[in-house]
Amino acid sequence: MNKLEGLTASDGSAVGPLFIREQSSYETSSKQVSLGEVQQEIRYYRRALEVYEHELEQLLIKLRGTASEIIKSQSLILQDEQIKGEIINSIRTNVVSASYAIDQVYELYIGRLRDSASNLFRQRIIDLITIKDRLVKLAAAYSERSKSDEQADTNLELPVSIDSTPQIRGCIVVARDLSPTEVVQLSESKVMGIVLEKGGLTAHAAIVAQSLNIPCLVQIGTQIQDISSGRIGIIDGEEGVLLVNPSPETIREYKTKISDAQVAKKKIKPSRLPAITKDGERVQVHANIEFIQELPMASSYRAEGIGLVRTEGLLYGGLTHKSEKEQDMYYRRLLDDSTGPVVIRLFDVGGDKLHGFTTEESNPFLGWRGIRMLLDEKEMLHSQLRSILKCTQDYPDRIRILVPMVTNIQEVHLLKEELSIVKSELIKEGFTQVQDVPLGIMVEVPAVAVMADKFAKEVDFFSIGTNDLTQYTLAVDRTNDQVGRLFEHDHPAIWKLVQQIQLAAQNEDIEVSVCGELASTLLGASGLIGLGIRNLSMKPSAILSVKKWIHTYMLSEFELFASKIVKVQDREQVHQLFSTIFHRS
Amino acid sequence: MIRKKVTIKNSSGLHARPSAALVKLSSSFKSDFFIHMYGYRVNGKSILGVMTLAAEQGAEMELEIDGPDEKACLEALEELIDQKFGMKDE
Repeated sequence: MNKLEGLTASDGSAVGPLFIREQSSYETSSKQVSLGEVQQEIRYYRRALEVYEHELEQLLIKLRGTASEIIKSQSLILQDEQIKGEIINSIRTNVVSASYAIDQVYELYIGRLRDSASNLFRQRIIDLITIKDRLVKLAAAYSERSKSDEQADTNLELPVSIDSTPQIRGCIVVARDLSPTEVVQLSESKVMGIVLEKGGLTAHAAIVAQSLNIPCLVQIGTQIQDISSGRIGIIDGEEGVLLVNPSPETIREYKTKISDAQVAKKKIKPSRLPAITKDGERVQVHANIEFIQELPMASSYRAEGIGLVRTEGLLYGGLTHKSEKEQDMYYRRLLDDSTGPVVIRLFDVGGDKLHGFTTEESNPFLGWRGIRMLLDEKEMLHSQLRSILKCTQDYPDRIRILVPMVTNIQEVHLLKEELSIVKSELIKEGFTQVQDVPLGIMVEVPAVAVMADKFAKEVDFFSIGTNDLTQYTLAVDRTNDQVGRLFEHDHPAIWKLVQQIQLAAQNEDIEVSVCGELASTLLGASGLIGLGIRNLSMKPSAILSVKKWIHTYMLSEFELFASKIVKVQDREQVHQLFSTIFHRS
Repeated sequence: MIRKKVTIKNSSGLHARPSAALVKLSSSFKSDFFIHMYGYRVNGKSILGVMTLAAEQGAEMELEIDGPDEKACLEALEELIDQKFGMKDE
């Protein structure tokens, strides 16, 4: 059995024969045409557009939400008047075939994306290539047919798409990269899963696979080239691996797991109860919020508080006096539409967001951001503190302030000074009822984790940001394709830091919560609870499954798991322990 | 003709769906609409043109609008960009 590692772009596991999808290749039909054929070639192009548009409409019928928006944007590209004009113009002035003109014009635009420094934009190249290829193929097919058949010109029947071949039903499709339209077509053909050599978590193919519930792995790498069609494969979405040639035993095991998961999915109901372990230990489950629109979901899943409010969104548009009013409204809406404590994190942005492009830093994550910037930009800091403190008059005892990107104790002292300055200003202005607010820090810089005992004496609570803590501890930029796979927020190094932070907090009797992605995973929540964390904050969509999970096990099981994961040597062993203790793999 | 500098604010930049929103909105106006960026001048009603600018968050671009409803068009476009194209940050 062979095990290939990738990244899970769409959850779930699948078993089936592997089908290797070759890169489609074609030859653009002869470049030059005669002057008399120009009008005909333009007709082929228009016809190809109509047919492709029709194909997209057929796909759209089956889609909703984000996936449908993505396909609609493909159709917009197709109907781009500017491009249509350029292609028709090229056929006319260069006296070339439709397929040649389509290829040339699209390549020009694709080239621009290839030059882009942004990964996200380069991921969109595959979308354009697919549109181009389909148009070229259709136009060439019409051209071919007209040579052999005089009447074909009026015939709109489509050349058969390679994707409708029946043999891929039930298969796991392995490809270099796929466009969103290809993913929809594969789903129509009832494939079990998709594995991509390249791709990325934000690729359109991945987003569409998610919305169609097709398990999908990306970034398997060039090892994909050694796989041959027909072998049995297993996608393990929890581990992010592809198993090739598994034993019959392993296949059986996964088949059971997959059908169990399907049953469990149907059973899930919004849990109205607070999160309590099987033996009665309470765990607070809170929601991370950036937009007011997310609040209804948080409350429908009974989040017991808002564990993290990301306020950066307020910054776009520039900070002026008017924006203090906007902040007031935003915080009041938040407090009105939620229950329990609300932890407001001060603006967590880099300097680039403030002064535009000019102050670009070579290493923004190690640069002027969070508290470092806030202490330099007093006017901005004061406007936020003023707005928050004023809210305490109407919403007593609910608001907490969280400070991002703290590295040194000094920063905490300085912020406290600013807080008291703002408070006395407000009292002078007549806001006599403003309260003192509990002050906490994000623990996301390893220095703070290591020095947690000192910080615990200075602040009222810790909030562990496992994403940045992982990024800084493992020295990995998760958005970087080459090293993104090394981003392991469940690495033993992170568990050891969390343990240290938790102990420091316990000694000073202050609260700790975890607001990173780790808290929203079942493995992560298990380890964190076992280490003594009693407050997890996560995206609203994860609350339900985490609560269910907590209800299923005893505190002692979580503690057993936690006691072991701080002692192992790598992440593999953490996952093995998880499957042994919780009977999952 | 009016020209105005703007900054892209949504976290993932002017990728496919924001580009689509921009093109759709501008196409509902009579005025011609062009975007200047990196020395390119692209038709703002062309999704491929807009998308392949590969404008990331923080990118500055100049909008050029010319026609009978240029003022209304500019206002609408600015609002769309300010509202981050109505997208949640992914």
